[in-house]
Amino acid sequence: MSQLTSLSSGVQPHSRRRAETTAAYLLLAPALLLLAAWFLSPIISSFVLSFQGVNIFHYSQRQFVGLANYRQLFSDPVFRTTIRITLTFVVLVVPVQTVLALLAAVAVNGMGRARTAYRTVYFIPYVTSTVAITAVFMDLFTVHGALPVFFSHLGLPDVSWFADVRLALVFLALIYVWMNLGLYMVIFLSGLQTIGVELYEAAGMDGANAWQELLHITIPSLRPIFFFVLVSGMIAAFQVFDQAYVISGGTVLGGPAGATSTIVIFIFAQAFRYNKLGYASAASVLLLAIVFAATAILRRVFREETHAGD
Amino acid sequence: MRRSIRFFAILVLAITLAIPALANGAKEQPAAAAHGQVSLGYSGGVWIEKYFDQVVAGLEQAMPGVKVKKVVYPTYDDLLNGLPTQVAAKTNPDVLYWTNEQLADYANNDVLAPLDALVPQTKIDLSAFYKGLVQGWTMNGALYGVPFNGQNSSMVVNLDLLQKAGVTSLPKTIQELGQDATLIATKTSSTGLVILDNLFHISQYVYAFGGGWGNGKTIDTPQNAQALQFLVDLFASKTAATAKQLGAGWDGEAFAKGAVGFSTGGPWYIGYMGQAGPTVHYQLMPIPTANGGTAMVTYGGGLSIFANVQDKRTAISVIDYLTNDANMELMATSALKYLPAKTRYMDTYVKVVPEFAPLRDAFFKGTPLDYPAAVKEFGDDLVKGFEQMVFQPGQLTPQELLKTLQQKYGSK
Repeated sequence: MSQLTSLSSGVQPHSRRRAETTAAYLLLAPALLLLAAWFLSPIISSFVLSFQGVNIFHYSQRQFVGLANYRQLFSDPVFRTTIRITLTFVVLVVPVQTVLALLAAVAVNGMGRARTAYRTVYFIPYVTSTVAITAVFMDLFTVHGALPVFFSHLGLPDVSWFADVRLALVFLALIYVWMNLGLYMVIFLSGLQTIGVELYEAAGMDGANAWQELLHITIPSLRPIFFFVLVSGMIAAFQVFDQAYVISGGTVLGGPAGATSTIVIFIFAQAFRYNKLGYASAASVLLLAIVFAATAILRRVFREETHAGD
Repeated sequence: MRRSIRFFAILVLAITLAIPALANGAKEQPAAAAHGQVSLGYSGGVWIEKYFDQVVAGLEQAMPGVKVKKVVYPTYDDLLNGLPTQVAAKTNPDVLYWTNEQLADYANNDVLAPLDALVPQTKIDLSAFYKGLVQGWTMNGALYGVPFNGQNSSMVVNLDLLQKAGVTSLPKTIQELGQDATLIATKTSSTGLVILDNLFHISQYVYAFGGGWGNGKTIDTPQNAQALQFLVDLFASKTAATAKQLGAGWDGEAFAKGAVGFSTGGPWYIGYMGQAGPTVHYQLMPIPTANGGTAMVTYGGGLSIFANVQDKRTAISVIDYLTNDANMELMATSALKYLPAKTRYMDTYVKVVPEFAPLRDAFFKGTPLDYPAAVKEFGDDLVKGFEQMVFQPGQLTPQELLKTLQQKYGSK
């Protein structure tokens, strides 16, 4: 031991740091390489393809077309419609799933021993097959079924929701929120468990009720979690695809009459139905830009609120 | 000893001379010369897989040098969706069993090998097949597939509902069919007509009104507009519904529940109804036209070879075997019960599948599909427009939709 100590003390701190840095990079290398291969390279490829005219059947004969794909996208009314539909979906889904997940997390957090069981129950839809869940929901929301009949008492038409132009997007949002609620609830739950009990005890001694505790202790303490849930929820919602794909099974993607035609449905159709890989890549790059912009806005809002709070 | 050496030398010489001679002879009999592995792609299903298992086993016995590797896609949608990327990555199967609905897209992109020069090297006799099917696999004067089985469009009628509605005979014109569907909807509280909102099913009404797409030349014709208006009116009066509106994945599923009067379908209903709607009293009939005739689209499964296949001779010899008389007959008589693409098996097929009898004569006069080249985009835009007319009335007229489609996909 003393020999080791003397050896280590004999090494210069500078060279030891260098050795540690090298070791760290070496250890990180496999993960970085995989990250580059699976994430970075497709993004770069998409970006390059977005400036090319690509027929998937003749992939090796790609042609540089400059900004033609982007110009076409901006003048494409179908693409504009998909952006409108996707934004509506995001606006519909993100606040609802965030609020519901928070409420569910608060409720589950106060359940003591049953917490683990409830957490699992809420999480199950998230790990269940999207196709299976969508199929079950389609069955539940079929004309004359229990749920459409129930909602018809609230003034909604008794129709198959997924086949109705007015309700198809709401139906899509409903499945989406139901599936993802568990994930965001678990994230909120982990945040709730970091809030000191003494804060609630002090508030209790000051006579605060449960609502005031939620408003003045829980929500402000969860600010970083809120930011994460909103950003990741928004990014995921922008990319909604599976449920919309299943809904339109057998007919045209994004149906009925384009009511569920989200951006990713548009990208998929262009790339894999119409073989316009360059055009689809341009749409992907624009989607990336939209997500970046929305994230930056959210970040700014949260930063300003934090400063105002200070 | 010396004699046996001489005998051995003569034997070696004879073998040496015989091998090239045998090889030359084999050129005239490609099936015998074929060797190597050929991958055969098709979409799965219990009966088709059993059929191909049996046929491929026979092939490998008859052609010992050939191994067939089966590439089974889970569904036909998976096959169509996966194929473009497989072609791009050159991982597509050598021979593909598929339908000719998207032939134009693949043929125009030079993805498929023209078979005109290969077929004469085999025993395949194109005159033995239904003319309409061969036409369906011909694009720009070149043959891109050997017909394998026949499919056709037809009308499917729920006879019980027709009777309940007080209708005593089958409709003779498409207008009469619309009236009967309306009677069913009003008198029996059932759906008069169901349609799967896709290009194939909408096209059947277009043909019934004497229209068609003319490969892009005749999209905005008055007949086509009349057909779309016919459907729009049936939806407006709540006589018609899409399969989805009725909570079904496709038209047959809705029809099998017994609460639909008419549906555009085909022979694939026969097997399905036996399982899903055994109590429904139904009949297949040719689609009546506006002037009292019949309209029937014949298309079907065929076997194509991809352009990137190196050994096309072995591939065509596999197709030769798959379409031989024994396998065609097996197709009709096995549990698969597909209509073979060769005319001589019609009687056998009708004996096995008597429900097909009303369609027998019309099948011989069937016409091929005539979609524009950009079939997927055209179909999607047509369906979107159709759904807009049906679900958001007043926003678009059939004439406006067809005019837009003509401008976008027309080849006038």
